Amino acid sequence: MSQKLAVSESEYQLLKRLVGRVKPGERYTTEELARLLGLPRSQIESLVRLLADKGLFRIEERTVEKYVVTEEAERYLREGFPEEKLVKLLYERGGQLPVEEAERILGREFSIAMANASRKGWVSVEAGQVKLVVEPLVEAEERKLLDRLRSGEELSPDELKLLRRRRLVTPRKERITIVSLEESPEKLLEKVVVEIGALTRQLIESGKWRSVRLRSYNVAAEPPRLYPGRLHFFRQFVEHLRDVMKELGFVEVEEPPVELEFWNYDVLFQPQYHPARTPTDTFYLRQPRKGTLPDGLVDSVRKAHEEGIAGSRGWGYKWDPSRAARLILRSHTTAVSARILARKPRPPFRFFSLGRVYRVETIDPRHLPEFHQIDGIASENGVSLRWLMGILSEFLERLGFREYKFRPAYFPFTEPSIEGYVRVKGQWLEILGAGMFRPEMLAALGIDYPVAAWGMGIERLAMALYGLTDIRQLYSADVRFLSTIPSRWWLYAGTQI
Amino acid sequence: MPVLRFKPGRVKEALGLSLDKALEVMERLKIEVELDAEGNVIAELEVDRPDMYSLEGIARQAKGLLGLELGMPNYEIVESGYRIVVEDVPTRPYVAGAVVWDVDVDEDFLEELIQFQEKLHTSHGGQRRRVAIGLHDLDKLPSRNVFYRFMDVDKVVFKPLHHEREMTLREVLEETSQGKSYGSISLQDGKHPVLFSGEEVISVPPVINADLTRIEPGTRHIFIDVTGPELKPVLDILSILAANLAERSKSKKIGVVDVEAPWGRLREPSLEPMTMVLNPEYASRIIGTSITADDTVEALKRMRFDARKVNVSHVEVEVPRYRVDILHPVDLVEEIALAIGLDRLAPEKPRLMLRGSLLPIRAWEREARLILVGHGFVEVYSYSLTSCKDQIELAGIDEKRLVIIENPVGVESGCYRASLLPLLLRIAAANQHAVPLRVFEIGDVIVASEEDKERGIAHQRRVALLYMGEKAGYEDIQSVVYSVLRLLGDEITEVVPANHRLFIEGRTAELRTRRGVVAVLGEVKPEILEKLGVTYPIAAAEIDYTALQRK
Repeated sequence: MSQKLAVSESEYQLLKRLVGRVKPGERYTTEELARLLGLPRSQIESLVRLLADKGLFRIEERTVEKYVVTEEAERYLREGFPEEKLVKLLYERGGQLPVEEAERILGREFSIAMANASRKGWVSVEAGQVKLVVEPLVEAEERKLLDRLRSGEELSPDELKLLRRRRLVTPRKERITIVSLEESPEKLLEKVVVEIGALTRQLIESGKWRSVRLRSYNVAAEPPRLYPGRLHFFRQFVEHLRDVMKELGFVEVEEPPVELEFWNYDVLFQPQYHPARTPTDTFYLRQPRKGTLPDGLVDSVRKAHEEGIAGSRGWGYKWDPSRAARLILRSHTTAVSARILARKPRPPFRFFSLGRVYRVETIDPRHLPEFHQIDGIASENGVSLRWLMGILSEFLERLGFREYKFRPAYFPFTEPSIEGYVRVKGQWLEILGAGMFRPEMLAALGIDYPVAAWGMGIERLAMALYGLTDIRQLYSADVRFLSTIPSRWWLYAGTQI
Repeated sequence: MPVLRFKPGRVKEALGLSLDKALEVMERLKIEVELDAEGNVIAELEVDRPDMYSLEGIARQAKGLLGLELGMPNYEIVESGYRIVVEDVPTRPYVAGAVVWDVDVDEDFLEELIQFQEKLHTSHGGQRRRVAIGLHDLDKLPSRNVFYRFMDVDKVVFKPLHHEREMTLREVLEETSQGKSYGSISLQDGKHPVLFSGEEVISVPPVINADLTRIEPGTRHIFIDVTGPELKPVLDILSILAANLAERSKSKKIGVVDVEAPWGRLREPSLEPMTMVLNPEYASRIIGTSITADDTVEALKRMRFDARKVNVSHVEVEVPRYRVDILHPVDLVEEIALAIGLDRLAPEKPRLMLRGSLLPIRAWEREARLILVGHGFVEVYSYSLTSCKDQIELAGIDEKRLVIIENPVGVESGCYRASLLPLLLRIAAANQHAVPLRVFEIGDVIVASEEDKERGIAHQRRVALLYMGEKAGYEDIQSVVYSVLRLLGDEITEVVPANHRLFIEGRTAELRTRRGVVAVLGEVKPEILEKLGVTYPIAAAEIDYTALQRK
C-alpha cells in the first residue's frame, strides 16, 4: 500500500474513465481526451498535469496554428448569412426586386449578399431587377464548414481558404497538450491509491476509509483565529481580590452605591464645608433627591461636628441635617464601612466591601467618573497602626507584591493616616489609603473600641498589572478584544509579580 | 490637594539645609516633593496643614523634626494701635485684623505670599466664601481707624488693586475678573462689605483690595484683614497668617487689632495655645508600640508643641493656635508617629485567625458566568452610569423610576442604569463585524422606589445576554436562558407572552422560576435595530436574580 502513488479522488476518476477509451503508446491532445471522456477541457488540462507530475502520464506541449471563428461569422451564424437574407427577401417579394429596392432594404450587407449569391448562382440581375434562380431553402455552405471547425474537425486547405477569404475565421497560435500513456489505464489504476482531505462519517461508516489514504497537511500553517466565550479579565481581577480578602479572614458586605451624604461624609466626620462636598467633586441626585436620616444617630453626629465629642473640639460650625439627607452617588466605599459600624459589630471582626464609587472627573486615559474600590475594616485585640501596616503587608504580599512602602497621609476620617505604595515594573504606584478611624466618628456611632480601616482603588492596579495605558480599556466594548486578551493567570497564583 | 511651588534657593535658605536634605525632611512631614523642569520645588501638601502653605511654616516644622528648635515658637504679641469698628454687615459679619512688623517683602517673598493667600482661599477659605484675606502695606494705611461697613455699591469709589482708574464698586463687581468670580458671594440688595481706613477704601472683601495699600518689594510691615460669615474660621486663618509672617519677621512682633462689633469685641490675634492632655498609653495602643511619657514629651517638642510630663499616664500638651488641625488627642498621636518616622515602625502581622466569607450570592454569580461562557458567550463589563434616553427608549424604563444625576459629566452618563439591555444593544451595534455575537453582562441596576425607604431606591441584580446573528431569533436566546437556569438547579415554572418596549409583540416572554428568578426575553424590534444602525437580527434576555439573595 505504501508504495502506491497517492492521487486525489478526481485524478482517480479520470483514470477510471480512460479505461477502454485510450490505448498505451497513442498520443492524444487534451481536446481529444475531452471529447473522448465527455469532460470539460479545462478540467482535463489540470488533471493530466497533476498526473504527469506523479509520473503516470507523459505530456508534451506544442504550439500550433489554429483557426478560430470571427465575431462577424458568429453574427452570420446567429442572424443568417447576407446571401441567405437576400434569397429570403426575394422569395417574400415574389421572386424579384429592383436592385435599388433590395439595396435599400439590406443596407450595408447588400454588396456582400449580391457577390456571394451571384457566385453561388442563386440570383441573376436583369434589367435592373434581382431575380431568384434557385429554390428558396438554400443554405450557405460556410455554415457547415464553421460548424465542423468548431466541433474540432480539421478542414481542408480549400475549405479554410474559403472561410479566410470571407474573414469568417482568423488564425491564432495555440498551445496544445499532447498526452500519452505508457501503460494501460487498468495498469495505472493498480498503481495508485486515492488520497483524501477530510475523513468523513460516510467514509468511516462505509469502510471506504480502508481504500483511501489521508492527505498530509502543512501542520505548521496558521489556523483560523477563534473568538471564544470568555470571562471578563477585569472582573476576574475583581473576583481575585475578593478571594484574597476572604483568605485574610474578611467577611464580605455590600450596599448600593446610591447613598445619603450622611453616610458618605457626615458620619465620617467630614465637615459639610469640605471642598469635596460640592457638585464639582460629588455626584448629586436629582431623582430621588432626598433620603431619610436614620433615627438615633443624627444628634451624636451633629454634636461631633459642632462642638466635638469624646474629647474632641469638633469643627465648630452649624451642622445642617438637610444637607446630610441629600442623596448622592457614594464617593468611596468607606460609606459602606460606616453603615456596618453603625450596627456596632462585636470585635473581633473583619469586614470588606468591594464596589463602584463615583467622582466628578473628566474622562481621559487616567480618569473615569466611576471606578472600583475595596474597603476593609477590622477591630480585634492589638489593632493599631502597626497592626494595620501588618495586615496591609499581608494583603499586598498575597497579591504577589514584594516591594511596598507606607507613607504618612491625611484623611478626614482616620488618624493616624497612611498611604500604601507598591512597585510595579519599576514604578512606585500609590494604591491605598488607610488609618485608624477617628474617635469622633466612632463615638458618634456609639463605638468604644479602635477600628482600623483601609481603602484601595482597583482600576489603577489592574491597569498596571495588565499593562494597559488607558483606563477605558477596562470597560472596552470591543468584544473581540475581550475574547482574545491573553489571560494573566500568574497574577492569581500568589507568587511574586 | 494644595500644590505649592518654591524656588530652590528659597527652600535652602528657609530650612537652612542643602536641597536634598530639605526635600527629605519635607517628605517626612507628609509633603510630597519633586522638582519641575526649571528646578523649582513642587510640594504637594495634605489639606489638613494650612499652617504649612508657606515656606516659613514648613521650615518651622522642619527645624523641630531636626531638633534645631524645640517646642512652641515664641512670638511677641503687642498692642498695634489699630482698630476695626464694625457696623452691621449681614452677609459677612465677621472681621479680624493683625499687624506683623519687619516682614521685609522682596520679589520672591511677594510671589510666595500671593501663593499662600490663594491656597488658603481655595482650601480652607472655601473659594473665599468661608474666609477671605486682605493683605496690606501697613505704612500705606491712611488711618489707624479701620471701618467695616455694608455699603451701597454705587456710592463707593476707589481704584482696585492693579487697576489704572477709579471705579464705582458696582463697576468693580461687574467688570473686573475678580468681581465676576467673587462679586456675588456677599452682595445683597445692592450692598456689599467694604473696609475703610479713615475715609479711604482699602478692601471690598471677599473680592479685591484697593491699589492704595498694595504690597510690593520693599514693603516692611503688613496689615492683615480676614472676613467671613463665621468667626471660627476667620480667627483660624488670621492666626496662621500672623504666625507664619512672624516666622519671617526679624522682631517676631505681632500686633493685636481691636475689633468692636455688634456681635462682640475681639483682641486678636492672641495666639493663645490650647491645652490638651495625652495619655502615653493611648498613643502606645493606637500606634502599636510602647511609648513612655518621656518619649511623648520629646516627640511632641520636636513637632513644635510644648509638652510636660505630669505623670506616667498624663502628659500636658500646649497646642499652638495655628495648628487648627489638632482636634483631639489622637491628632497628637499622629504627631508622635511622624516624629518616630513610619519607616521605623515595623508592620505587625495579625495573629488571630478569623473565617472570611463572600456574599452567598457570589457563588451563584460565579457559576452563572462560567455556564454562560460554556454557551459561547463573552462577558462584557460596562459603566453603571449611562444615557437616560437609552434607558427610556431601549429598555422602556419609566422616567419616574430612573435614578437621575443632577450634575452629570455628560449626557452619556446622566442616569444610573435601570436595565442592562441598552448597554448590550450598544455593544452589539459596535460589533457587527464580529457576527455571530454572543455577549452577557452581570451587574446591578437601581430604580427609584420606596423599597429602601432611607434612600428611595431599589437595588437589583441582573444578568443580561444577547445573541446577534444572520438569523437570530427568539428560540436562540430562549434555549440559552432555559439551559442556564436549569443548569443552575432552578426550574421554570411560568412562561407567559409579554409586552416590552424592546421586543417584538408575540415574540416576547416573561418567565419565572421556582427560586423566584424572573426574566424577560424576546426578539428585538426591527425599528429599534434600524435606529441603532444594526443590520442583523438580535435576540436578548434580562434575568433578575435579586430574589435569590433574600433567601
